[in-house]
Amino acid sequence: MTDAMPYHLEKGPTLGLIETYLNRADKRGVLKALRALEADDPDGVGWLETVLPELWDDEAFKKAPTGARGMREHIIKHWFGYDGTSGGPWTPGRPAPARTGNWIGYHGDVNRIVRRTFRWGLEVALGLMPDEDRPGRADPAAIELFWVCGVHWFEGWVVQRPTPHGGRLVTIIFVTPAHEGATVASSPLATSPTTRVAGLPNAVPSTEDHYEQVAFPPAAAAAGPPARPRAVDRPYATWVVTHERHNRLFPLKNNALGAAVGLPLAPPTLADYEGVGGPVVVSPSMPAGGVTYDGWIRP
Amino acid sequence: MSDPDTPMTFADRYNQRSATDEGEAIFEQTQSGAADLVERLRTEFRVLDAVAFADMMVSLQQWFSDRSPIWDVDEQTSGPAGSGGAGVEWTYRGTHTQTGTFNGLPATGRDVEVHGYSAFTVVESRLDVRRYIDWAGLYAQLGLVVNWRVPILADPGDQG
Repeated sequence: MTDAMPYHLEKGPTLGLIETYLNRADKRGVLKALRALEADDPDGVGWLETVLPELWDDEAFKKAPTGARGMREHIIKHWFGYDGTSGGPWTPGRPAPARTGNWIGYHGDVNRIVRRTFRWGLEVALGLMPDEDRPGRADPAAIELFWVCGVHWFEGWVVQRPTPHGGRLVTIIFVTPAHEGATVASSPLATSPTTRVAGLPNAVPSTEDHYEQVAFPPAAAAAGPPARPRAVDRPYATWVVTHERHNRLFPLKNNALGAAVGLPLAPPTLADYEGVGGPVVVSPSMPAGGVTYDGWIRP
Repeated sequence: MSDPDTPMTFADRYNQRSATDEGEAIFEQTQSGAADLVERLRTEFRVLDAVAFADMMVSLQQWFSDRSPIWDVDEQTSGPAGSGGAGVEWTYRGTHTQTGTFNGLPATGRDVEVHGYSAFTVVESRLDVRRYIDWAGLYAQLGLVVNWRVPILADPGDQG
């Protein structure tokens, strides 16, 4: 939920903060509020502000250029596709075929999908079916959040599994179309000290704090502060395993090159990529969509 | 309707479109001595139409079953092209029934309409064709999307 996502999968600061407050809150209380708002105000977006009120007071939002309020507006306008401002009523955007928010080639009720995803994630964490109105598990499952960008349409995934010692973990993954201005880095390896670089419109992988590349013998170089725990001992990380870089195989410029008549065509695949080098194992910096070592988002 | 197990040849398709039995002779001319054939393409619209049809069908039948009306050409935008060529704008209609042949896609059963322009010239005495096909329009009808996350270089110093 930032505008800087140079990797296919992201947690980053905003989802990291939502995750923190979701797990810190009384999940039963949050679920109760979500259920009520879903029933009483199905098109409303007020739930985003009200179900986790302390979230938006977090000092970390001061790092965002537009603050907490601007981030909420970004989600309501560019994710949910609503029209309006925080000072006035929010109304659902134009009907199809107008695109929803900033999603390219997609119209849908993202507000309801996101709200229902959070609701079902909380219900799974509490062990409650949608029609059950009881306290649920005394020790609800932890919830983690991720975002994967660049597919046909918008989906929320709720993945549940047991953890050792009787615990449970719920993973929520938002899978979305690409959005305006979306890029993806052709290499996971960072060279830039910052994600945002003057003169560049797009974000790039950065070596900012919490970035780490694992060293695999015999020759690979590691990248990560030596004072940190070993990679395997990090409490939190999001490792991507892939080639060092991806090159365009056939920079296709002309699908109509001359040929003898009567020969079968092959449909162009537009862009073909060749993975080169590696595989490398990298956990992105937090500003580039990764996570912090300890899971905390600091102001 | 084409049968995927016995694909029709260029000559078969020429005969189908032109309602003649000139297909074999025309195909021979495409391989050598194409200058005379191009002159016919420039002056005889029915030959140009049938050659373009036969050429495209060799590819399209591997992916689609023909759907009536199979083929339209636009005479307004067809005919002599350049100093020594001929071209024809065409529309093909079919149904995506062949599994696996279109980059491995399962047959969707979807009706498609493919638009294109075929330009014919002579190259080293054989007939050469450049097929300008509306691939994006075809991909859209099959429900395919372009991934709008443009790859960028990770190193800002290389982004120029």
